[in-house]
Amino acid sequence: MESLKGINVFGIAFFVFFLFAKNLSFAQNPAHGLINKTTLSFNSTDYNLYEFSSKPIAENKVKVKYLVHDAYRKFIELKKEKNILLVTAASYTSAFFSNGTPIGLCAFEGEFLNKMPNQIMDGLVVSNFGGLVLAEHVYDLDMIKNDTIDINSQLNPRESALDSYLFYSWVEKNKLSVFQTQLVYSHLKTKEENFKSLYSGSDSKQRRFLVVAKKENILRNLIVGSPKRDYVMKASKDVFDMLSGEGYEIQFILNLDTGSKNLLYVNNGKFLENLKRNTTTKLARIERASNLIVFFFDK
Amino acid sequence: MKLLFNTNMKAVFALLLTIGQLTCFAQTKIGTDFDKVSPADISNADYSEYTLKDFIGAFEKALKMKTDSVNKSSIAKGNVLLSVLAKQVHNGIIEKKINPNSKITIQLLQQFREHKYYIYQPEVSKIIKFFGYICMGEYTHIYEIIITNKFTLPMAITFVVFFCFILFHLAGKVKRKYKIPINKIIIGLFVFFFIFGIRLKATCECNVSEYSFYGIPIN
Repeated sequence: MESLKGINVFGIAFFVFFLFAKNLSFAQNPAHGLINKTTLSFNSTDYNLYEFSSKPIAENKVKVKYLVHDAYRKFIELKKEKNILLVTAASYTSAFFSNGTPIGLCAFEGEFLNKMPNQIMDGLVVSNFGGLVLAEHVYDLDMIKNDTIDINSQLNPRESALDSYLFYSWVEKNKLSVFQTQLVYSHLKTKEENFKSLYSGSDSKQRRFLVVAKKENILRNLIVGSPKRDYVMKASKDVFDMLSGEGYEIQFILNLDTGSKNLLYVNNGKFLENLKRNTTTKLARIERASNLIVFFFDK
Repeated sequence: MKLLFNTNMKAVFALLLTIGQLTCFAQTKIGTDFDKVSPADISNADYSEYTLKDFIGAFEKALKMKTDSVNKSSIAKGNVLLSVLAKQVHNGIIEKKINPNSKITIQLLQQFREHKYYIYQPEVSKIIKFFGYICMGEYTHIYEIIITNKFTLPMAITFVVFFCFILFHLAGKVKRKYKIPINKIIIGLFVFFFIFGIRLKATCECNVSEYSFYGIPIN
């Protein structure tokens, strides 16, 4: 009986220590607070939100990198030097069987892989500024120039060859990274202009978006995933309405690839967890990714 | 080419942009004498009467200008010309004025690619994707696509019904009169699909690419 009591006391003490140690390890994990994970319900769909703030926490600042051309090797190198918070596929790719060139304008740290803008996709994201994606680094390629001449904000490489040359020179000089995708919401257009045709295209894919928004006057980047298969514009409108209702001042919503290379890894406080483990194709493995967008902070 | 994008250059380009904006509604037909016009003129000119041969000539001219070590202004003009040609060739293909599968176009597109202009990247066709997945042994993925797509699901159901009919037939439930010819067709189809399947699995890696199936262009 005495020995049983001893075991019980020891067991309880061990359990309490285990809980304490678990909480302690989470509190001390540097990723804690830099990635805010929530689930919001809207129109009977649960959306997964991964939010990053431009405001540093304990001197840690979240940064974004776009990796392309041997993306996995570049990701592994980055992982050795930085703490990865989230990694997902970014732009669409022409490659079906092997690594290839992403569709539309594409550059990695000043080196262009594709200088031919896609004539349909209207969003251009410029990154590698040492922080999150800023609204001024998202280009709405549907916007036609006005009379004001401000070189960097007015360039439209899809519409003008002269602008292309200026844009390429700027990207090369500053070693920036670029990718092109569908801009499904732009604050430069009215809501009606943005969401005029909700049901075009296919409704057979899950959807994921990169949202550039402000809340409490702080810039935020969000990765919003919809587990439901839906039309891209319908899903983006739901995301817009949902986030607006939560007090976000949305500047841009960009579509991310959820096709055959649909992948998402998120830091769970202990390790980078694969949240798309049950994909039916090996093309969706990170090792075969043709391009990746990575949120991270310095070690 | 390393370009210094300093303040003076910004001012120059701002001027070029102004000229470009002023002339953008007054497109002029351009010849081949690109040395004598500004980058803005090259950007805004009308290339609608260009033939494929003209594009090839202009492409070679653009490359020469781009690498001109004597005349610095030629570098900007060469780069702008290359950009505008890429877009024009792309539009020509989309508008079906240029055949993307002709030998001469394939060569031109390849040359553009060498200069990082990936012109004309249509979405990979569903046929190529289907055979590509078979080639890679992605059978679970094919099943997933079929059952979640509103177009492929009825096709798959039809195929299953047809297959059941064959089994039904083989079980001897079809009228005697039709049995012999139908049997021949079934055996022929089985042999064809068997040989086709074996050959596809053995040779597909070298013969199925994004826009080509055993040399047949699909785009």
